[in-house]
Amino acid sequence: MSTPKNTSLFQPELAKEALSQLLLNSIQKLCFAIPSCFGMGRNTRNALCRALDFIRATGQGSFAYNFTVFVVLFFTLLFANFAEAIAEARGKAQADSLRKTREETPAKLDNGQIVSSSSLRKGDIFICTAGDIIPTDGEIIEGLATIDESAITGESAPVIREAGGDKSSVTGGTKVLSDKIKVAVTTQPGESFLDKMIALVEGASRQKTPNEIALTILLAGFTLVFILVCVTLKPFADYANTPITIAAFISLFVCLIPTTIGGLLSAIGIAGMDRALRANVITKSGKAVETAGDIDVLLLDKTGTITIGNRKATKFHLAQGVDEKQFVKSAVLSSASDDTPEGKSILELAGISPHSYPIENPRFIKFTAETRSSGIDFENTRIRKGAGDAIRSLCEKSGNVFPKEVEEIITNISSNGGTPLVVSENEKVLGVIELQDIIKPGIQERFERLRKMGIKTVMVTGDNPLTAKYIAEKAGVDDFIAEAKPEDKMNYIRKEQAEGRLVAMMGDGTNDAPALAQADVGVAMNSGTQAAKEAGNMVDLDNDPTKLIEVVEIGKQLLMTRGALTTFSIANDVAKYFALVPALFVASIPAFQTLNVMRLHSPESAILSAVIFNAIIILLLIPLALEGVSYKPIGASALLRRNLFIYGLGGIIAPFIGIKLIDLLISIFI
Amino acid sequence: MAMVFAFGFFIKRPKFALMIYIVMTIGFLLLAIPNIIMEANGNPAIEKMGINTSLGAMEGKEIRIGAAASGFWTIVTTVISTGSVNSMHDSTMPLSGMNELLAMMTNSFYGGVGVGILNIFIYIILAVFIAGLMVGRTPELMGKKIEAREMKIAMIVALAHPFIILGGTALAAAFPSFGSAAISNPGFHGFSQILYEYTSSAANNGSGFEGLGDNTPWWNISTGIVLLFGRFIPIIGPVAIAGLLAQKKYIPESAGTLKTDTATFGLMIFVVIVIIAALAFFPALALGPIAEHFSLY
Repeated sequence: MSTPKNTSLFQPELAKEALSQLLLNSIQKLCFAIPSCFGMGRNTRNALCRALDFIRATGQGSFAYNFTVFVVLFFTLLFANFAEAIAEARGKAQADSLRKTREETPAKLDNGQIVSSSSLRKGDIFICTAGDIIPTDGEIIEGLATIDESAITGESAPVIREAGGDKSSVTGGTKVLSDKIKVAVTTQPGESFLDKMIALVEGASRQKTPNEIALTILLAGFTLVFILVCVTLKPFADYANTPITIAAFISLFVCLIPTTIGGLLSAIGIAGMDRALRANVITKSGKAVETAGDIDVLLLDKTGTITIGNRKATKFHLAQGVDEKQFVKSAVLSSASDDTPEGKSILELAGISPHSYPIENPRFIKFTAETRSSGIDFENTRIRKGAGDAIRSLCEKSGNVFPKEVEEIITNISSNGGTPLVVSENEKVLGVIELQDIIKPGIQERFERLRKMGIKTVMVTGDNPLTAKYIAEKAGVDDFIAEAKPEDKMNYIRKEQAEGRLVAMMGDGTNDAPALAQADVGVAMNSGTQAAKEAGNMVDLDNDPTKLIEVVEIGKQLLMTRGALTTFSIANDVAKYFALVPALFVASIPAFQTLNVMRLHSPESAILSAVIFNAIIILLLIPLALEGVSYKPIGASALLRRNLFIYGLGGIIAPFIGIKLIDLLISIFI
Repeated sequence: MAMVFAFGFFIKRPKFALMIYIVMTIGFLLLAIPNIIMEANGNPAIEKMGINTSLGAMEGKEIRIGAAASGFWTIVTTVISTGSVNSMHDSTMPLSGMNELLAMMTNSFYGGVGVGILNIFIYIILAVFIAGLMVGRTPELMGKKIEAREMKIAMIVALAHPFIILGGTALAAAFPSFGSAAISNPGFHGFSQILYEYTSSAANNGSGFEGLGDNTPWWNISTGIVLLFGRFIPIIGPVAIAGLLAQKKYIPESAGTLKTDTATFGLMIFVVIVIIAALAFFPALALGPIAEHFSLY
C-alpha cells in the first residue's frame, strides 16, 4: 500500500475525518463498550444536570466552577473517543485507497460475454489479457502472465503467475501486464480478499481478543472499587460533618477510574492491526496479532529466509592430472544452456562466457530426475555435470574409475554445507564444482534478537542432515528439520504444540496449507496458492519470509502498550488522591493542608487541575497508543524493570508535576 | 508462614516462595516499625497535660509489656488473624491504628493461619497479569496462562474485601440510630472505631477498637454477615482459580517468559498490594485515623 504507508500521525484530513467520526460516536454510543467510559459518560450528564440545577441547589460552589468542571469532563469524554476515532480514521484512509481499486471492473467471460465484476460467482471462468484489471480473486487455470500487484502490495516490480503449481492465485484489483490467462473465480462477491481487507481496516470485523477481555475485566474491577469508594465516601463525609459538593464527587470518581486506558483501549487494538497492515501483513483477526506476540517456536524455510534463494558456485576442485583451463572450459560449456541460478553462478565464478569457445552443433542435454545430470554434446565430446553418484555410475558403466580424491572432495564439501557438482568429459571425471548456500547478511543478528525474545527458531530444509546441520550452525538457528517433507512440518508443529508451545510458520504452497492451519500463527505469502491463504491467519503481501519476525514484534508491542498504559493510568491515581482528598476535606478540617503536598492553590483549583490533567493526559497518550511502546529484546525481567520504571514510576511522578503546573496556570485566573 | 514454604515445596519453586516471603516480611516491617516508634514516643496531648510520657503512650497498655512491645504485637496480631491483644488497640496512636487497619485491609502480609497464602495469591494473579502485559506476552503464572475467567474471579475476590468493609462502614455511618450510637468517642476516632470493627470482621481477625459498644443486634448481625463473606469468598475464589489453572496446558518457560521469582516481580506484587489498598481505603483512612492524627499534632 503506497499511500497509507506515508500516513503520518496527525494529517489534517485525518483529523477532520476523526472529528466528524467522533461527534457521531459520542452521540451514538457514549462509550457503552468500556465500563469506565460508561461511568464517565453518565457522570458527564450528571454534571450537566448538576450545573443546570445550580440555581436551585445551594452550597455547591459557583456556577462558573461547576460549569468548568462540566466542560472539562465533557472534553475528557471527547478525547477518549477521539483516540478511537483517529485510529479508525487511519484505517478508513487505507480502506478508501483499497476501495478505489475494487470499483466495478468489466470481466470478460469464457464465452466472450462481458459482465461486471460484481456479478461473478464462485466457479465462473473469465479471461484477462494484457492491460486488464483482474475483476476478482481467482486461480489461474490456463496460461501465464506478468501481473502488477502494486495496488495491493505497494511493490512495483511485476510478478509472474501461472497455472498449476504454487503461484497460481491472482487477486482482484491487480493488473495484467502481459500475456493472457484464464482464471476461475474462487470467492463469492463481497468475500474477496480485497473486501476482507477493507472490512478489516475499517474495524467492522474487529472482535475483542482474550487479553483485551481480561484487561477489560481488570479495569471494570477498578472502576467498581472507585464507584464503591465514591458512594461510601458520602456517608463517611456526612458522618464527619465535612460536606462534599457533587461536582467534587464526580471529579473524584472520573479522576480515579482508569479513564486513560479505558479511552485508549480500543485505539490500541486498532492501531496494532494497523501497524501489521503497514508492515504489509494482512491479519484475519486481531487475535492473530496478539498470538504472534506469544510465539515460542518459529518455523522458517531455509531457502529465501535464511539463505539467499539460491546456491552459488564458490570453488572449482580439480581431479588429479586435470588442467584447470580444461576443467573451467567443461564447466562453462556444461552450464551454457543451464538457466538455473546455480548454472549462472558457475559462469560467474569462471568469468568466461560460453560463447568464447567456438563449438559447432552443440546439443544440450537437459537435466532430468532420472539421470540427475545435465550437459552438452558436441563433436566427439560429451560433457556431463551432476550429482556425485550420478556421474560415478556414468563413469563406472563405461569402465572408468571414479577417482578416490574426488570422493574425498565430495565428502568434504558436503560436511561444509555445500553441494558438490561433479563434471565429467567423455565419462572421465575432471573435477568438482562446489556450490554453497549463501546465508543472508544480518540474519544471525535477527536470530540472536529472536533468542533474546525467547523464541526458538527452526530451519526447514530439503537438504540432507549434514548440510542442514552446517547451515543451521552457521546461521545460528536453534534446530532444523532436514530432508523435510510437508508432513514433517506438520508433525514438528504438533509435537511442539503438545508440549504447550505456540508455533508460527510461513508457507506458500498448497502442501503447506495443513501446517499453516495447524500452526498458531500461519503466515501465507500473497504469491501463494489460495489454499495456503485460506489456511493461514495472516497474509504477507510482500512475500518476505523474514516478515514473521516483524509480526512477532508487533504482537508483543500491542500487549506491552496495553500493559504500560494500564500501569500508567492506575499509578496516576496516587497523585490524584493527593490532589483531591485534601481538597475535599480541607474546608472542614484545615489540618488536611499538610496532606496537600503539591501545595495546590485552593480546593477548587485542585479539583479543576486534577480533572484537566485527566483529560489532557488522554490526548497526550494518543500518539503512544497508536504508535505503540517501543520493544527491545532484552529479556522479560529487564523489560519489566524498564517498563515498570518508565510507566510505573513515571505514572506516579508525572501527574504530581502536571497537576501542579495546571494549578499554577489556573491560579492566575481564579 | 509455613504455608508459603509448603507452597514453594509442592510447586517445586522454593525461590518463588522465598520471594513471596520477603515481600510479606517487608510489608510487615513497614507496618510494625512505625508502630513501635509511635507507641514508644508517647502521646503529645497527654504530654501537654504535664504528664511524663517517657515510657511511651501507656494508655491501654500493660506496664509489664511496655509501649514498644505492645506496638509490635498490634501489628503481629493484625497481619495474621489471631485477634488476640495485649493492649487496647482503641488507645493506640491514630496512625498506629491506621497501620493496624492497613494490616487487616491488605490481609496478605503473612495472612491467617492455614489460609495465609490465599490473599496474596490473588494479588500475585493481578501482578502477573499487569506485568505479563508489560513484557508483551499473554500473562503466565507457573506455566499456566492467566485469562479472562481467572481475572474475573481474582477481581471479585479483590473487590469483595473493600466492598464489605466500606459497605458495612457506610451503612453504620449513615444510620446513626443503629450503628454509630454505640461509638464511645464521637468524631474522627469514632469513625475509626466503626471502620476497625468491619475491617476486623472482614479480615477474620477478631480484635477491635473496643470502645465501641458493639454487643447489640445491629453489630452482631452486620459483622457476622461481613465475617462470613470475608472468610469464604477469599477461600472459594483462589481454590476456583487453582482448579481452572490445573486444567490448563503447561507452557514451558522460555527466555521470553516473565520470571516470577525475581526481585522485580516481588516489587511488582508489593506495588499492586499497596496501590489496591491505598486506592480503595485512602479516603476512609483520611477521614478516620489521618484526620485524628492531624487534630492531635
